[in-house]
Amino acid sequence: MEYVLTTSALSKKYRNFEALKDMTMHIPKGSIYGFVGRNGAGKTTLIRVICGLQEPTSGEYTLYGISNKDRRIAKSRHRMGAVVETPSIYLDMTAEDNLKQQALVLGLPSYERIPEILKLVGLENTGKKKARHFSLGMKQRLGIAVALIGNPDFIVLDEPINGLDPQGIVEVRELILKLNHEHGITVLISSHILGELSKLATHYGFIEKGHVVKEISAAELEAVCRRCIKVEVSDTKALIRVLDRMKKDYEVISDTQANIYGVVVLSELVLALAEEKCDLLASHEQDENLETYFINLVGGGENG
Amino acid sequence: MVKLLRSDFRRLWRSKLFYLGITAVAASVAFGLINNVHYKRIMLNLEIPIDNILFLGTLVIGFAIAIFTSFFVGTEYSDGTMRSKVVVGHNRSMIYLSHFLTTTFAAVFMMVIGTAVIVVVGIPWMGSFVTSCTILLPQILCCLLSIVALNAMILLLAMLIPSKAICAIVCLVLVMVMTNMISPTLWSKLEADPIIPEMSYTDSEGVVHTQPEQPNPHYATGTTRTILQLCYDMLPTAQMYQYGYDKIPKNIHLFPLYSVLFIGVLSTVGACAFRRRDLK
Repeated sequence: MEYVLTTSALSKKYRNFEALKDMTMHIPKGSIYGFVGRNGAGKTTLIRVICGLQEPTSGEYTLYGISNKDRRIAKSRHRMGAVVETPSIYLDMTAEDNLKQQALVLGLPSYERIPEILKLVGLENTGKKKARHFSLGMKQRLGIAVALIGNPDFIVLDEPINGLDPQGIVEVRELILKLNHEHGITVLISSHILGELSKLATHYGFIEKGHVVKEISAAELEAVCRRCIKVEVSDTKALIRVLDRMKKDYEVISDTQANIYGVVVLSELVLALAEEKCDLLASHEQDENLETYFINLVGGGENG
Repeated sequence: MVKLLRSDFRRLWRSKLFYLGITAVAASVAFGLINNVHYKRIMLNLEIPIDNILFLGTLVIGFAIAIFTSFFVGTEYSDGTMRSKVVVGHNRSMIYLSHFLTTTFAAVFMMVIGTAVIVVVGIPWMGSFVTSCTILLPQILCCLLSIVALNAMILLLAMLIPSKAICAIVCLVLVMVMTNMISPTLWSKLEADPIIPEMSYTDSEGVVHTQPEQPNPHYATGTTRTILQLCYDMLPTAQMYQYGYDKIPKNIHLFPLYSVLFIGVLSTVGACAFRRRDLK
């Protein structure tokens, strides 16, 4: 698999506080990588480090295969855009002027992409309105537009939906999906609003206390989180025969246990098993989602 | 670097603060000119040549630079746009240099406009220059170099203090202290007479008391005097203080050297510190 960003044993210390500890993560090309963690888990620190705003204390990261210790990293940064915490926009300028300003920073030969980008983020009709007077959602979208002006193929969005109203959340979500699906841009998006992230991400990285505890694709997560009944039986061979007959999706997890996916009518299952001389010893319904998966993974005891 | 300069200069030309700074310097200089001429020519009946007040702008430019540079750079922090430059791979030293060149241009431009006001308003009123161009021109260049040095100092603070408001206050207080306290103090110590002359007075009973001539205990000598003189000649605000008060500074030939040293050291320190700085 081709990765846009990888980190290897990355650490960042602020005096006595270790914000990142031996962090290792992999962002596949073309993915929307949801970076999940509590407040203070180290999400923003990692983003600051990979954006070059802060130097790691130890370890390294590679951007398009180029190590941060290599001088060529500056060149590979031209291929990325970022909105870190708050959008980076001049408040006393219009949306168009902000994009022109960033176009100059990037040394773009012309401003011809500006109308297209403004349209992409839905700010084409803002005219002479200064960014200062934009709503939070508009500012966020302008921040994304600024990140997009250099035609990057990797953008980093740190908590892009924080503080947005429902309409703003939908707008930003649709924009991110559009960028990923239509323009093939890889997105790293950090958030602790898991419900929203689950509508976007194709891959997840779960961070706790400065350490990535698990990386998983959305498909794998879906499999893990599928609604299922965990059953314990006296004879799994008999269970397999019954489930095959009932055309159920299942997974045998031990000599006596199996997960049965989808809707299961327990009385039918018990009768069918009885015909095979097999006893149903126990059954537990499991209904995990991203939220419960995260809580189970990092432990829900501590307050974030 | 060219990309950064183009971006920074575009912002400069659109900056209201820049035009406000020019207006403020021009207005203060015009006010100072009228006040000066009115007081010395009409009240004291003194003829003063325009040469003596040509550098009147140096007395206010420090404050204009403190406000302008701290806000111009501070906006990059408060609006987060400093990050955009770093994220897309610009070298931090180049970002520093670009800000230095842009704000220096602004500071020099403000001073040039202020001086132009004196020339345009002053010449019809006070007549042309007495000093020849060959003397005046190097003085003007030295003065502009002092302004660049002062801007290098303000920029160092602006690049290292992310809060726009705090930075503006720190810079203003610093300029105020350096201009209104340190510079006059250095001047008074260096200009003090080495000898307190003989003094006589008569008391209420008609007895005449005479205090003989004696050395001034506050007169700086030796190493102390060398250090004070070095500070007086090296600090940009002290140089500007000397330009602003009617006289050709004694060590003006050393001023460019000191200014260049000042700019070099501060810019190197500033750029190194900015490179190591964790941005948020």
